[in-house]
Amino acid sequence: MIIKIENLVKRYGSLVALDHLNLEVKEGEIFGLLGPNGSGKTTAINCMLALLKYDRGSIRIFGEEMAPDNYRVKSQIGVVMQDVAVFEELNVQDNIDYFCGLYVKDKNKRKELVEEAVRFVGLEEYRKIYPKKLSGGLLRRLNIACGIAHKPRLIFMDEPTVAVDPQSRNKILEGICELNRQGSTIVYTSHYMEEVEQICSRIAIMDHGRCIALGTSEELKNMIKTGETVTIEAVILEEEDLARIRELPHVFDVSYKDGTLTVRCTGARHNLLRILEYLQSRKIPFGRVFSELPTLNDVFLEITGKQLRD
Amino acid sequence: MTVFKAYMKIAKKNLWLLFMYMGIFFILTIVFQGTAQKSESEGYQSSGAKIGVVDGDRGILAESLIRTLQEKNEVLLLSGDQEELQESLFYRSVDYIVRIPKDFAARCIEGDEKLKVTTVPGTFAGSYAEQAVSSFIYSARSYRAAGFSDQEIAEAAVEQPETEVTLMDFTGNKGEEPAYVYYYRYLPFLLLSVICYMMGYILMGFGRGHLPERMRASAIPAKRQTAEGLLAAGVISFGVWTMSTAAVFLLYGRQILAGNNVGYYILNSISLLAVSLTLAYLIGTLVKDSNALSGIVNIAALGMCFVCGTFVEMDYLSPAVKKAAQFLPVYWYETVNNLLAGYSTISGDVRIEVLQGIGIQLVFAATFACVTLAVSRKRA
Repeated sequence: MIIKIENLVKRYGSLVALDHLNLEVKEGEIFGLLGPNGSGKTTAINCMLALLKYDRGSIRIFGEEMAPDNYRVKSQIGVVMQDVAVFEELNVQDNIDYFCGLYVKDKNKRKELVEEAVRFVGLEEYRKIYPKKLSGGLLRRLNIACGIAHKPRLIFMDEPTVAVDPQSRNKILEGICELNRQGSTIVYTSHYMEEVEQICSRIAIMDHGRCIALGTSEELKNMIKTGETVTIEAVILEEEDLARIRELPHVFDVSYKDGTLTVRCTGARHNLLRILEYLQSRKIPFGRVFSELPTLNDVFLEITGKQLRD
Repeated sequence: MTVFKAYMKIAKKNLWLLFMYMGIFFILTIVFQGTAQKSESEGYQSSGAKIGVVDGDRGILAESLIRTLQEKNEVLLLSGDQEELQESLFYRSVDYIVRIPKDFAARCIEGDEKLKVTTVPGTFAGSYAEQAVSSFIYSARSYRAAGFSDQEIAEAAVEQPETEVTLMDFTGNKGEEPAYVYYYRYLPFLLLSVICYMMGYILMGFGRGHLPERMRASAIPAKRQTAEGLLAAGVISFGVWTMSTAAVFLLYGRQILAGNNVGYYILNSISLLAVSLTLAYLIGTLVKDSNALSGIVNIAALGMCFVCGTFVEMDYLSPAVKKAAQFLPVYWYETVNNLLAGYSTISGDVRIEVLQGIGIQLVFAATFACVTLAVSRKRA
């Protein structure tokens, strides 16, 4: 295990930010921390980085107790903060060189690493540009380059794609996978479930400072009852129709709101077909039809009773 | 030395600021120095008043009084017509009217009767004319008491010897302040503005957003980061001070080296440097935005320069302003500066006063440092 967190408790006055959190991160994985805003993801990362004191529990990284003065562990960690944390007064190259210099003393080696980081995030044309002149996406890339230039063994990335355009987001996500292929273990927090699902090998879903589910994307989806969600635009549906649909095989939840029928079924074949056959038999007109496999949002919804983005 | 180098890189980016403030500083010094010296040389020029005289006596002593007044004033003889007198005062043809009564000698020299006078209220010319008239009367009374006749009094009063004034040169500067005094007087503007702005800008950069957290998460111990930062701040401040001190020696080298107080001037400027640096740390810790930084630096530097005797000499400051200024470090810097300018050799009580002034500045520097530490700890 590269990170082992046991019974971590962190309170801000009466607010419990982390409530007996237990986590284990294996070497070589991209570990996703998924949860809504305020679920404790950033607090957990700050505790792991020894930026915050915690009230109870323990954090071990690389087998050593993490502490503010454990510089041996810190030297193997890279950090990409949630908000862009670079010097406005230094240009792109100087910024990366500065943060790399906090870990690597050898000037020649650092020069190579900085060059590599610049190329890695695709900022070759912006070396001498100051951060104020960079777009949001490029700024995020610079933020990442500053955190990874020294080639850390473990990288913490706290929502690195917030407020980034889709093109830059894809570039960033590809980069993260590449870093992982190069051997870095990554702890990635986000409230974008699609991102987490796309890149993370294991995911911990957090809510109210606790880990409420842990596993691979498939494992998490298999934990829940929902196997398929069918959504149909139907203008007129009587209460009797809803009761009939609810009685169809494998259907366990039916809702009808604003002319949209949502039917949640367990994992089985022909669910959609059976629902459409019923509507046709009753001559109920319907519009667009969607059938979706379960998402991490469904996992969160079933466990907590609320949407991930509530 | 990553942190040290980053400080220097950011400082280098602000070098234009140093040269800009130095330019303003030299212009200010030269302009103020020129103005002050010009006004000093004109300080002892004699000037007279416009005096109207109504001679109702026409005797020998009355004529003597008029001649005495004519020596240093413009005298206009008036008829005594009330309307004419009022018009003369209204149109400022005269500032002061004196009526010499009939039997002037008997009534005003031998007797105690006062001369009737009319003056434009609040004019220094009126006071000056009154002094001249009183002086004649008192002299005439003295001569009369000594047994002088009217004729003798009239002659003696007119031939009063000129008083010779000897300017005592306590300062060794022939009564004038040496030019480098002005340089040191305006130095707070340069040091406070440049150091507070440069250091404030750097410290603001290091404290922006989540940078402190990123630094704390790094492999360089926090103590080392602080030490490198302090070293860089010291180098930058000392560099600015060295430039300003080198400039004073380049401009006034012989003059300043000929004086005995060069060491005290340097000591005083070093204590001001300590004040500027610690104040810069405080401002850099508190301010998060570059617009606010330039506003606060201007208020701190210009404000202190205006109320502490830098731009406006202390003699012209009101007692209330002076009292308030005592709670600011630049006041003590200027107090020491004035003492150094006033005495060619520092010894005894003056030496104690000079050292006290320097000590108080250092206490201010220590206070700023403590407040900065307290603010930083509270934020951490």
